[in-house]
Amino acid sequence: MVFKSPGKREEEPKILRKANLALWVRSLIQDYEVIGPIEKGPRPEPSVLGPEDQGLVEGEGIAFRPIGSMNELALNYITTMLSPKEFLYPPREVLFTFRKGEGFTEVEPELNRKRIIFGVHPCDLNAILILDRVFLGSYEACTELSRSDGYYRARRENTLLVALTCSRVGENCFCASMGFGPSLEEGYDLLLTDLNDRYLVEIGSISGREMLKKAPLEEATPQDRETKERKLRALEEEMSKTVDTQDLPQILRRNLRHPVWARLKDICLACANCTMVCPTCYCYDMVDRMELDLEKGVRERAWDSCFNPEFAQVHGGNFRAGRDSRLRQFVCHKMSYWTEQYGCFGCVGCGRCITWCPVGIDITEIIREIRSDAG
Amino acid sequence: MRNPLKPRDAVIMAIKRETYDVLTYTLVLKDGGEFSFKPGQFNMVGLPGMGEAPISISSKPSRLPLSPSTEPFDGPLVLWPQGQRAQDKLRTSAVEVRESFDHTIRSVGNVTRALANLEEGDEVMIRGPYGSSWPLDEARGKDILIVAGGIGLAPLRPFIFHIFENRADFGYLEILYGARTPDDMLYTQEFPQWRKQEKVKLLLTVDQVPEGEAWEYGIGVVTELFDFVEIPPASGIALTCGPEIMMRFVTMGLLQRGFSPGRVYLSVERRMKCGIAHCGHCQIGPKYVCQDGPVFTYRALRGLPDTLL
Repeated sequence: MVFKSPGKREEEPKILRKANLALWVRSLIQDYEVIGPIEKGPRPEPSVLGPEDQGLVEGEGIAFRPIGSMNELALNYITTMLSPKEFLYPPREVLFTFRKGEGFTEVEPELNRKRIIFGVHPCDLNAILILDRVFLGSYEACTELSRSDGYYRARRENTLLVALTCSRVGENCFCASMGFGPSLEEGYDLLLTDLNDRYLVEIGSISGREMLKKAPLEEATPQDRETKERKLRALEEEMSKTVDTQDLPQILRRNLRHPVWARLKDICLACANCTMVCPTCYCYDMVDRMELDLEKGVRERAWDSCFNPEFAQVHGGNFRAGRDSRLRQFVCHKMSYWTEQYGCFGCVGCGRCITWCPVGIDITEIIREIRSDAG
Repeated sequence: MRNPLKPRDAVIMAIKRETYDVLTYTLVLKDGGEFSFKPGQFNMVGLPGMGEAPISISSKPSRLPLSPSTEPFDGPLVLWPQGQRAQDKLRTSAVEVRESFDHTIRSVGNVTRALANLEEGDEVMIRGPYGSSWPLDEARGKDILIVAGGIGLAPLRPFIFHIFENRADFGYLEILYGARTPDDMLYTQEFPQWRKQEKVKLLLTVDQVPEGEAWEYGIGVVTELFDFVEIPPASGIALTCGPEIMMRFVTMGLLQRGFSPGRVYLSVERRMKCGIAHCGHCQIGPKYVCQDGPVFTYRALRGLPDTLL
């Protein structure tokens, strides 16, 4: 059973004046732990940056972190390096502690207060819905017993999502192609859209309405909604990167021996950056760490990457020894196999894998190249 | 918290040496809880501090109960209770009669080498069973050809015993078993018993025989035994497990002889961390070996990347 995520709009959208945002956010911080996009540090002087660096620096400077006040929120951000995935599925976490002869003790996630992730862009919110499918067990072959990851579920059930329609388009964004943005239809508790002096506030769940208890709201007018639609259309038009998803899963499956893989083998560094910044990558490694006394230890899990050479290694061989096969696994999993496994693409079009690739490999270009040869 | 990653304690009741690097462990869950599995499934077997490894279950599926009056037919002769240490471990529990199950493990990796150092009465951690099983229903009424290589006989053993126990439900059983040397063959002490069963043929071959060692069976790769197969492909179903490169040639040979891709079943091995389709390691194209597999038809795997098949 898929995690019961907040649904579509339950009631008429509202208006929150920007002047009242601080007041509302302050009330949220009192009642919830609020995670939001903040400026992490001073940005480098613009003089040292070429125009091509702009998008990159923006991404580097903004991160999702717990906030203490509304002033910290950088709601005009384009994208972050890491998606808010890390607050549901930390890069590293201790699952169990153990002591010799005593077995395993679970380390449950610390959940003191209800948590809000504030200002999540549609692509990242959709990525969370995709992770729900992975970790909360819509994978059909699984037996009931093994369907959901307890750690993810605990955090997910304790998390509310305040989505935020993008204001700007990044140079590597292609969410519109993937159908995961710039509009957002479901999965949010609240959806905010910046309409200059005001936010259009759409309510997606009862918890969302609850969050608005202390917000001074007005009714939205048809013009407000029209303004939002115009804004969405403008974002879509501005998006320069595209992927043609028509029959894409089948086309990739038919082109597993396409020359693009062999060519990129010598370019790709297998550094795993793409998988570390990907908001839907879910693979993990589990490792036991013993203390020096050899009496006690922990079982930890950490994000893993299909680019790591030992990822598919077994005794006697490695099923993806070459970088070509590892890059192909990444791309084909997101754009092909995923649809068979989970009924949707595994790529939301956030563009992070392109932004953070040190050698400029672009998933949209790979697909274009294969499609052009596939006819 | 409902947690599928939490392992259960199991006590080693007996250890039987199969070859110089393979041991069969007979395990009983310490919590006394139920453990039932289907032939072909596996457990994540672990040791605190060492981690876990996916290991197929090699005992017959219905070995119940383990008690003083029962001598399991399939494998190590376990008398209840055997050994003071194992006895002490379980005395704390009120449960007197328990199911046991076997893992036949070759020590080649970190976890399996650590397991090789354990003794009867020691504890291991178990999660499972996971994965698909051999085609119990599809095989009913059919002749069955089993082709195994080396340690690959272990996951097939439960199915072989399933056939022996339900002999009328199945047709002829032909087992082709290859190993590197005679010393690498598993379960050789049981072979006379296997051969005594009805409608069974067991053919053995090895790659080489060490000098001075007696060997009355075949020498060569396992596919060379295909010439002795009598099961007609039309009525047969084939099950294979072994090194992937071996399964490649077995599958090719079977297809050449007229077996259809949907009637050839393979049990494949991949790296695994979770066993529940979360950690991502075991994927072959869209398949999770841990949940869709480890047993697949060749039809399901045909054309997928990153295999030797």
